[in-house]
Amino acid sequence: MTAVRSLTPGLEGAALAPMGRSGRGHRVILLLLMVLTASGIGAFIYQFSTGIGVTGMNDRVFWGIYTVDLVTLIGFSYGGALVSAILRLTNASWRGPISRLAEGTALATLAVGALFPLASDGHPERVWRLVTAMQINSPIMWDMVAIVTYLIATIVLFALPVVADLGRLQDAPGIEGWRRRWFRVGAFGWTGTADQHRVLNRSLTAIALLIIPLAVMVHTVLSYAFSLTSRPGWHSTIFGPYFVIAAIYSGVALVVVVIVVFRRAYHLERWIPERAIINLGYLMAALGVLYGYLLFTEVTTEGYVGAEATEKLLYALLLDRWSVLFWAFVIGGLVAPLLIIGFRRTRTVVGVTVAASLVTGALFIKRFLMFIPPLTEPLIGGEVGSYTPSWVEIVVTVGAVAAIPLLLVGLFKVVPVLAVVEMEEISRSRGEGL
Amino acid sequence: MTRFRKLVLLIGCFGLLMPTLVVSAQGQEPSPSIAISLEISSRPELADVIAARLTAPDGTPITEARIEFWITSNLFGERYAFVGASPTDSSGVARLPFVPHQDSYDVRVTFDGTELWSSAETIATIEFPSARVIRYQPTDPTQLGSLRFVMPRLMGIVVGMIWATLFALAFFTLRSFKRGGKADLT
Amino acid sequence: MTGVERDVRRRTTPLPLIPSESKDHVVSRRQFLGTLGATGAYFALGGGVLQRVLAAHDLDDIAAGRLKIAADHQWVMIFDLRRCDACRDCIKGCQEQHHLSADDEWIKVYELIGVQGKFAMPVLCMQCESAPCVRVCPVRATYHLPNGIVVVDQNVCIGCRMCMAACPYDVRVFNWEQQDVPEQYHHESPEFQVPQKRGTVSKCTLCVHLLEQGLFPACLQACTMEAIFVGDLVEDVMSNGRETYILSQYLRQNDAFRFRSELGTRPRVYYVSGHGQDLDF
Repeated sequence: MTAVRSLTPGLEGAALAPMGRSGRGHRVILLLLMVLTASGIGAFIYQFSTGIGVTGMNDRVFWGIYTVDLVTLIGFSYGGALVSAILRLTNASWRGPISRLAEGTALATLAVGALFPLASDGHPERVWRLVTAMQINSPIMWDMVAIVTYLIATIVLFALPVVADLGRLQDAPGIEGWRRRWFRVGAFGWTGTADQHRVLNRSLTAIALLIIPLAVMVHTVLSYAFSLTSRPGWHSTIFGPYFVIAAIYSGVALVVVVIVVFRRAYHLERWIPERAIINLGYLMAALGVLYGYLLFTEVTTEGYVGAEATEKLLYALLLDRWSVLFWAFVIGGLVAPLLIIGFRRTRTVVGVTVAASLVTGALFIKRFLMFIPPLTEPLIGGEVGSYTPSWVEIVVTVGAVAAIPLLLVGLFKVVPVLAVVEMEEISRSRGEGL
Repeated sequence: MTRFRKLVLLIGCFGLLMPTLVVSAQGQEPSPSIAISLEISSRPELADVIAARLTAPDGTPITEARIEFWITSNLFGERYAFVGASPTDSSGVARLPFVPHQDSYDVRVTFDGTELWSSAETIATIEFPSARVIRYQPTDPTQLGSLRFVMPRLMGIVVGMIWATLFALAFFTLRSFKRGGKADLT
Repeated sequence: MTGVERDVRRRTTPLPLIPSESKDHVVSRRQFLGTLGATGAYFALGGGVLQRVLAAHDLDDIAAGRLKIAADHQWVMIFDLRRCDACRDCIKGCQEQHHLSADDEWIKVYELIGVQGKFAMPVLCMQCESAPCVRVCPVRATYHLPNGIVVVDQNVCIGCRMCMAACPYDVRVFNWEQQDVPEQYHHESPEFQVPQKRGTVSKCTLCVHLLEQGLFPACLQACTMEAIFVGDLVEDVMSNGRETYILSQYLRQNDAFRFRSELGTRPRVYYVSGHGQDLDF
């Protein structure tokens, strides 16, 4: 144990780097994030007391930006859990340095995203009735069950390796005072014995196996709130796979962005090699191709038959009112990232980061296009509807987006940002020193 | 009285009498009578028939006369619901197929009257045998309605098992951490 | 199961069923057959239960927890489109009765173009027997009354608007703001709610609070063209106040249809098609 420890003071320091005092630049950014998050909370309180009439929603477009936020954020969380789980199951050696950040991102986005149904409800204080009424036929009920289950699974997936790390790092330099007490308590008696390692690995493998179909289930269930209605543009069997693939795609993209930002901010370049980021870029590109296939299938199926209702919607999306947004999504979210990662010249950390940022933004647009345009189309007759998010919705959205890095920073002030135990185990199994 | 005044008086009396003559001539149109009866169909798939026989006061049937059938309803106050109309045949019987939805109906049969006959109407209560009454049944549920019932409950069981697995994993893992274990790593 | 049975026949010694760490790895034949029998009985019993469950009837109301079919009336509404002239008096009548704002339309009048030309079609809540809105409400705030009418309990509704997404007829409206209605008109019940509560969903109730008193719905009373009828499936009678017909006969003789019934909603509103030919429309 001591022999290993003396080899890796650099790793320990790196894993605990975010827990040190933040520099001035960091503090400014954190302050900004805190202000944005606080404004978001304030705007929600205003909405709660005044009524959701303050949003831009109306009887025609009755679900708006909040629904887009919900699906986008929960989609992001899938990427983190999946990156961690799949890389573990395939025993990818480069998973070590990124798994903690990936799982943390999953947790943070899920925690914030799960609040958005409350933001969209007219009476969020009555949400407890979901449990007492037990309306098993309702997609909203399924959403609640699925999200809570997924949250528990993500917490367990995140927490178990953290327990090991807390045990491993409790005597590291720099850990004193309340942190030391917290590390000791949170370690649950981890001392790094072979038995404990075996138990940890078996449990993590089990959770990884469990969380993959669970995440598929969660996102499919999320899609059912739309596809289990008879509305043109929503009532499509492709919505299940659509949501799942979009979630992984955008989730991996966000993980890339988070990793790159933390890597730069806390000088973890030595521990998170470029290779890991490029590999994630490959994964992202593959998922982009898959998503493009789903999009092509959906458009072709609806467009060929030309049923009146879907024809009008498709025309509006591809050629009319929504075409700017639609083609921006296709180029920015599917074509450009693929090109960036496809060509060696652009396949760098910077390139992958740019591609990932494009994907993140483009998939937000795509979800907007999936939910709002079908609502604007009249079901029976009358005028086409319209929707403009109000300042309340925008502030709440921005606040939620700001809350995620804030949560991550806060999280990694109490939890090591690198999965030290896992990294050491990987290098040990490969026979190399750290 | 002068001859002229006699003429005026005669015309005046005649003039006064004319309407009375006309009226009494009208009032002298014979009033037919209507007898209502129920003809139950021999076959269950055929409707029962309400029959109305229109006869002259001397008993001869009145043919090709339009008979209207009404039933009373208490929906939104007392009112008559128009069921249908049919002409009388050579034996003076008008027939209307009718499907009963309750045991008895107050049936009102009317004849509007023609130049020959004055109008007539009859009200009678018709009792239908229980077996002939078609009561309201809710329409068949969707074929796959049971799927909507079973699937969510099945998924609920799956979710329950997932929760049990997650909590068991967390609990047992942490417990075995606490127990420590054999052998050091080096 | 069959694989294990086959194994048992081939082997001479009993098969260990449960991999246990105890010294006794072997399960006796009697124990094994007993388990087999118990499992078989379980499946038979479970199968029986499953069969009963699969044969269950109208499950939307089971889902809503209110399966009661026996009621004095089962209300339907009939629109005679030959008479409708798109005057929208029905909308005004409804808004007056329920103290709604001018923007809240529980009954909407669409002017559509068909093969025969332009025609007007009033659409209100179809009171579907297989209502998608009842099915998807997560808190059971919307449910069927025994007489077939669907109502919303605005003290339970959380305002998630899933019912609005599920309704194929676009008849539900959401109360984005709180309405101001003088105190004297206030009435609290899902059958007749005044005023509508902010943050909840509202829709036409076929004026069930009037129907049960033997009065006509507000839209019917307001319609100057006498194009709206109310009927009762139990008594098989329909009326618009002046004309009263046998419901099933009228529907059959006038080729009445239901709107979008192919979606499986089993709506309770009938239309007699026309293009205002009873008027100069």
